[in-house]
Amino acid sequence: MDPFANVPSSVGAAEVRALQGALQGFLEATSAHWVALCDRAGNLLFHEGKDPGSDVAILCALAAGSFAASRELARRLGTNEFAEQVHEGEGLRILLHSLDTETLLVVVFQHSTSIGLVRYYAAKLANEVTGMVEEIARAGAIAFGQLPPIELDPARPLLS
Amino acid sequence: MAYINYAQREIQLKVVYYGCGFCGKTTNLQAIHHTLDPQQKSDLVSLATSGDRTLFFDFMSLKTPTLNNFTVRFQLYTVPGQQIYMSTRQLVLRGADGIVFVVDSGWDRMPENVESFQDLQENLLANNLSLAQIPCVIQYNKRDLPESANIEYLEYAFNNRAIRAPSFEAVAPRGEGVIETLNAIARLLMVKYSKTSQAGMAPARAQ
Repeated sequence: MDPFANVPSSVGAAEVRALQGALQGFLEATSAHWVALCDRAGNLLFHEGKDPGSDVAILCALAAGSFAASRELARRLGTNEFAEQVHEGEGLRILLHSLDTETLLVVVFQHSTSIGLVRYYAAKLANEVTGMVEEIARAGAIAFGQLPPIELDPARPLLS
Repeated sequence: MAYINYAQREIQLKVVYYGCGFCGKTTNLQAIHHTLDPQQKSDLVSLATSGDRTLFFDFMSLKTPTLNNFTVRFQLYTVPGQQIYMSTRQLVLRGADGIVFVVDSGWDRMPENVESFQDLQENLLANNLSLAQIPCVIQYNKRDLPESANIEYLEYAFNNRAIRAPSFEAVAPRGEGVIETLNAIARLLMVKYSKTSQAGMAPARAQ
């Protein structure tokens, strides 16, 4: 019997589509390469755009680490956390933007893209998606809680 | 906190390997990376000093096979063990779902182990967590040392609570006990987040 029989499969799907649409709109407006939302613990939430050329889970872990380090730096200097960071490489720039106390926006873009434009649309995107991220997480947690237990084979390790 | 993406059928769980300097946290991740199927794992990323000491964290991501249509992604982190990196450890602990506390079995390292264990409890508290709330597995590493402390002593020192954590002996450079430790914390997390039955859990050691 399908363990999902009594649970709607579409929980959060409309919100996810709306959020992905907002991320795609951001990429079109800015010509940025790649955009992701991750939480402050480094978990990847959503991403859109061209393959950034590296494992996205690693990129998010590093982005969250970088942001956490700068926040601690700010705290020790007696100021508020830096709401935004831009790292400039030879070919690429990375913008880290704090959406709220839990979520970060990570944008990878080329030098040919105006940083002001990326900043402007990042702030706009932040207003647009903050509620969506919370709603998707909340709906997902509730729906997941209604699922039957995951059955694990005691004789078989999860990871091997 | 675990992140459940229901629409995309993915659960992400953060596991932090904690312990004093040179206890073998990075070696655990290296052994896991060496052992597991390439399809299941990301690269291992180390933010280290020029002397190969962990400066910020090591990181790798592991995916389980699909379970009930869900993929579970375990995000493994280590913390820097050196005492001066207290604030960094606190940052890495943010959002942790599970802890592996790695103990260096050498007799001469007991003060550092105890200090690290206290440091863990303080940093969990700073993240509004405690060892009573968060799934934890203890690994007694370096069991091949000639001057290693006996297990009864280590259990008394680090696992003497009402609810005892599963514990494992290990020799991380040889991979011994490493995957067992990883699977124990993975199962504890599955029990917590998906109501999985306790069957197959490694029991806590008997006194």
